[in-house]
Amino acid sequence: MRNRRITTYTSERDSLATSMGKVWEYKSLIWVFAKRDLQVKYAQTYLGFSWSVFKPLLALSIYVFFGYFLNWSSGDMPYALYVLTGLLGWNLFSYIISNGVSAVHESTDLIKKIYFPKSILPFSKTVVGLFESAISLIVLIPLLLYYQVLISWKIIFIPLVLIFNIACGLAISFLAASISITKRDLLQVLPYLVSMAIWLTPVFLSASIFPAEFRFIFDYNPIANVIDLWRWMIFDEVEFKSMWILSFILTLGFMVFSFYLYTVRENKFADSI
Amino acid sequence: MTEDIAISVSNLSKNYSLRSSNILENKKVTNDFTALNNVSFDIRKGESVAIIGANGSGKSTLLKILAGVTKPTSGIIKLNGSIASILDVGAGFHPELSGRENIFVNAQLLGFSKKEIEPKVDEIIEFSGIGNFINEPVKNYSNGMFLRLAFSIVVHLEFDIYLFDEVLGVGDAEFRYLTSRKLNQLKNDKLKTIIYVSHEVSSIVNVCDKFLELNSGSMISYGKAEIIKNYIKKSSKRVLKDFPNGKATITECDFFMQEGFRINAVRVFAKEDSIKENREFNIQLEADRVVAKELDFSFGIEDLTGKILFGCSTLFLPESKNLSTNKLLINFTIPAFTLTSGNYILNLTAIIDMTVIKLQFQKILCFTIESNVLESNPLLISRPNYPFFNK
Repeated sequence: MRNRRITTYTSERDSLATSMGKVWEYKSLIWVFAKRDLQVKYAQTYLGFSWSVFKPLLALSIYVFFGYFLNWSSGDMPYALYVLTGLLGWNLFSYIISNGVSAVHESTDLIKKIYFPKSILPFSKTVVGLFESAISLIVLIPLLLYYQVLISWKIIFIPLVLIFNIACGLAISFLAASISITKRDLLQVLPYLVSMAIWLTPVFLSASIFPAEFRFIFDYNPIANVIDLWRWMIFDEVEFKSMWILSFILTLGFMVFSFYLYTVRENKFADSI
Repeated sequence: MTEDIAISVSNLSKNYSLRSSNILENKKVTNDFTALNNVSFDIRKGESVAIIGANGSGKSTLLKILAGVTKPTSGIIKLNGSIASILDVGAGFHPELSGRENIFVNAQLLGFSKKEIEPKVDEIIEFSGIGNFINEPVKNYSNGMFLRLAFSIVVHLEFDIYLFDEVLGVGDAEFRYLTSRKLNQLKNDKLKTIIYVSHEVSSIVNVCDKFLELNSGSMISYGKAEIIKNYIKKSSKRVLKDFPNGKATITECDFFMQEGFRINAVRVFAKEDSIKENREFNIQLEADRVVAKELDFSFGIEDLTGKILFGCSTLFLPESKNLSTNKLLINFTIPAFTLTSGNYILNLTAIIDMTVIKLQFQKILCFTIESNVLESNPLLISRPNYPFFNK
């Protein structure tokens, strides 16, 4: 980095603390990458940033159409709102996974030519994901007005829920990215795994329609918990489960663990990709 | 590490493990490949050093390690100061972003904040000569425009150590001139250290103070005179015993035999003790005629890039046609101020009977012209800075 006076390179690996320190040191680069991604994404499109509004709306209308058609239960909550709140959590999660993993492979040029801690790549994709989520929240407001649902005071917990949500995504993103460096097969299957995993969460269906012996999937699944938490924040009728706190802590631990695995393999990135 | 050392490398080694797996045969072979083998050197602040060597000698690996892109297998590298770790200009460019946006992204990638870059943006755009295209996406740029923009970003940002990997000599003649001037400015700043990597000595020989030569991962030499000597040796077809050091005042080569004649000595000398810009100097050749045939010799003076600057020949002199003498002494006087200070190579062509070429552009020896004593002469200082690299 530019401001450091004496830089030393040896064969030794960075410790977990050093790796975390480097992410902090290069935090401005996280914004640079994120901003670049956003600029690129809407460059040469007529509607520009409004695509971020249209896309969730389009997806939502398809899900809602099928939901009503098949008469999927969503308790007392209007189905459109039920799906949208579920999608808020799910989209952020799947965005971080799929883009965090591919970011490493997209940036081959950069990784081979310029030094920066590779661990900031999934973080910068997270920032982009957060931006998209914020726009989806804007879509939520007219729907809330339409159904005359009063948003719960619990919305103040949104930072914690977001951290939980991001931790789920990053934990898998770091793990998958570090594996995908040498095992490219993962890149092929990952999109399918992610799109299948949505059925292990209550995005479209509430856990109650499943037989009791399968409900544990929804109870012990951190991302399912995150989606429940989103609904808990917005609707008064969802009850809080103390298990969610434990799940939150375990997910954070898992994220640190996969971050560590990633930084261990990070040194090999420039040589292997 | 003392204050005046910019880069210190000790016992640096780098191994790559090459895994060639064949799914069909279900075999896995792991080979270790040593890209760098126990390399140690120090580079002082303000030095320009070229890392040279054939393809696969480890030059780029060394630069990658210095840039921090890849880790060494063993050894310690210490860098004192900020590093422009650019192994390739334009590496951080995104094709969809405009030139202006890319300036910011690229500079931030190199560790500059937005505020630091803003005052320099106009200068960068001006230098790149891209004009109105600056607001167009970079993907619409020509190759030359892309490189020019990328290069101007790098040279306009302040670093202590610059690493360039075969990036010189891009663009057209005008831009090459601009870059060389800019690099000279960097070089004249006594605190800036520049490292070039090239497989072609000729393009950088005039820019660098020192040369670090690698051969299959090991450092074979580090210095200046050594490399120039080796370079001439390699490019000359005939292996002469040893080229005299370029610093010598009178330079001569050993005699050698050719069919029909025998060269006893070739000298480059000045009447005074050293060859200087402002003095005339002589090129002299002593030879014996072995067969009674017409014998002509031509000299060419090359710069270190191998470009022939001028020549002189006996072909058009009547004396050489005189077959009666068997001892030949040929002398050419080169007027003062013909050549500027620097290293030059003398080549020799020998022709028998005006038709049979016995020697052709044979690099014979290397000599140095020292700069004028009148260093403070304002005329010399304002001398234009000609482009110093040729491809």
